[in-house]
Amino acid sequence: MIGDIGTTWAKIIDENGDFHILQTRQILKEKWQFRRATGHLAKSLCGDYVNELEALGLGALKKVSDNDFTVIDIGSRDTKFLSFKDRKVDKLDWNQSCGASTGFTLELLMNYYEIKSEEIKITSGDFYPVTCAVFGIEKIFDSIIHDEKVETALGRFLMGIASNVYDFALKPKKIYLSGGLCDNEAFLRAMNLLTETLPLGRFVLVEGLK
Amino acid sequence: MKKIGFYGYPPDELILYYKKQGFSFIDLDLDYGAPDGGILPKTTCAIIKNIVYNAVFYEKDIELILATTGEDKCDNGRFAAYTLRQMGFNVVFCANTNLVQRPTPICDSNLPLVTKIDLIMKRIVEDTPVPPYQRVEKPTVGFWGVPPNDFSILELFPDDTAVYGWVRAVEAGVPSSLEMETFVNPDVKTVFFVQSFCSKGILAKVLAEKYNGLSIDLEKTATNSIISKIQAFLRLR
Repeated sequence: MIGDIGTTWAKIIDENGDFHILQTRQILKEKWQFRRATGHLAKSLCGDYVNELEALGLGALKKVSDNDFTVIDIGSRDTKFLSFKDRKVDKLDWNQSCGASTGFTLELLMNYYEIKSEEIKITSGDFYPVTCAVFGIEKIFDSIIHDEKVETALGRFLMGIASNVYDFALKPKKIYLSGGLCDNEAFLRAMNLLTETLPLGRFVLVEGLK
Repeated sequence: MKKIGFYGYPPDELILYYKKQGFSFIDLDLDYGAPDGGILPKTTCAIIKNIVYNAVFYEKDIELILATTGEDKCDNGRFAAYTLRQMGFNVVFCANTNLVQRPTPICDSNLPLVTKIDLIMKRIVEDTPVPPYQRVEKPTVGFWGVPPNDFSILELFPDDTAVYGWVRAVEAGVPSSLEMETFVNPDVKTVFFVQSFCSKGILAKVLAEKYNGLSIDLEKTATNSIISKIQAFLRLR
């Protein structure tokens, strides 16, 4: 069994090749053990640990056939990207320190406002400059106090997050997206206003462990 | 007998002068675990913090401080010297402006990277013997920068890593030489390292872009993301 044990979700491929997504807190509570693993909380749960950037890179190379491409993974609490030239790493970076381009803040807000991603209104060029997730949340609250609709305020926030992600990945012409935000339809709409964005799903890192 | 505290690479003649008087030396740049005294802003490079807080911690053992305050160190080295003098230390302001280069055999050797950098720094004030080594003709990777506060990141590099930047300039005896500090082999993939909040960050970023290397900075100790970035750069490039 191999797994990508993230902050909130664990992505697992079992010995039969079946895919599973479980809450990480369950994995930790039941002390699961993996043959090989990656992710924020994986080190104590596996025999063979692979760091997340390498797992992302190796997984992306399996799933993408382009010679030159950029892949970005947006986790709950971090964002990391690699760009390849001739299928060798050219640039890479990992932001672990700032919530202004991560999925957790967005998930938190969507749960708080009980809003689905399809309901979020995305408009090109209309976004909050989310220099910090906390400041971004403050702007949402402020806008809603001034009678802006939740779906519009969240859309502007989300567009700000997408803009940060695009900048962080060095503004490529095309982005392959990895992670939970692949399932967020509004985020994909926002990203596609900035650059062509193709979702690879949530199992890229764990595919890199195979 | 008390010791001479120093930081950076003071002029050889000054070091020799105090050596002849029988003094030994303590390198204040290094992290000995001295407590943070809260004197400096939080956004101060860890090396400068080491200098000031080591001096405070070892105050009773220090006769005077040889403070490098010129182009061979950095502005903050000068400001640290001023601060230490204000605190009552006997501080000798000095600058190593030598531009006559020596060879750099350790930087180009197959010794482990930790050993290379440790040796080069120790040999500023001691005749530390160099273990047997071979010259690496074609290094697989380069490390550019200053000695990190956290030496553990150096263990991520293979033994055939070439050393560039200020460390190379020190082995060459020319710590103020910008030409030597900015030299890298363009055919060698290189990690450009600086301490967070260090003005050398400008050089690291500019050189990393010029030579398509990896620019990293760390504050006190290596984070998981720093380690992973280095590993991914070394293995996937």
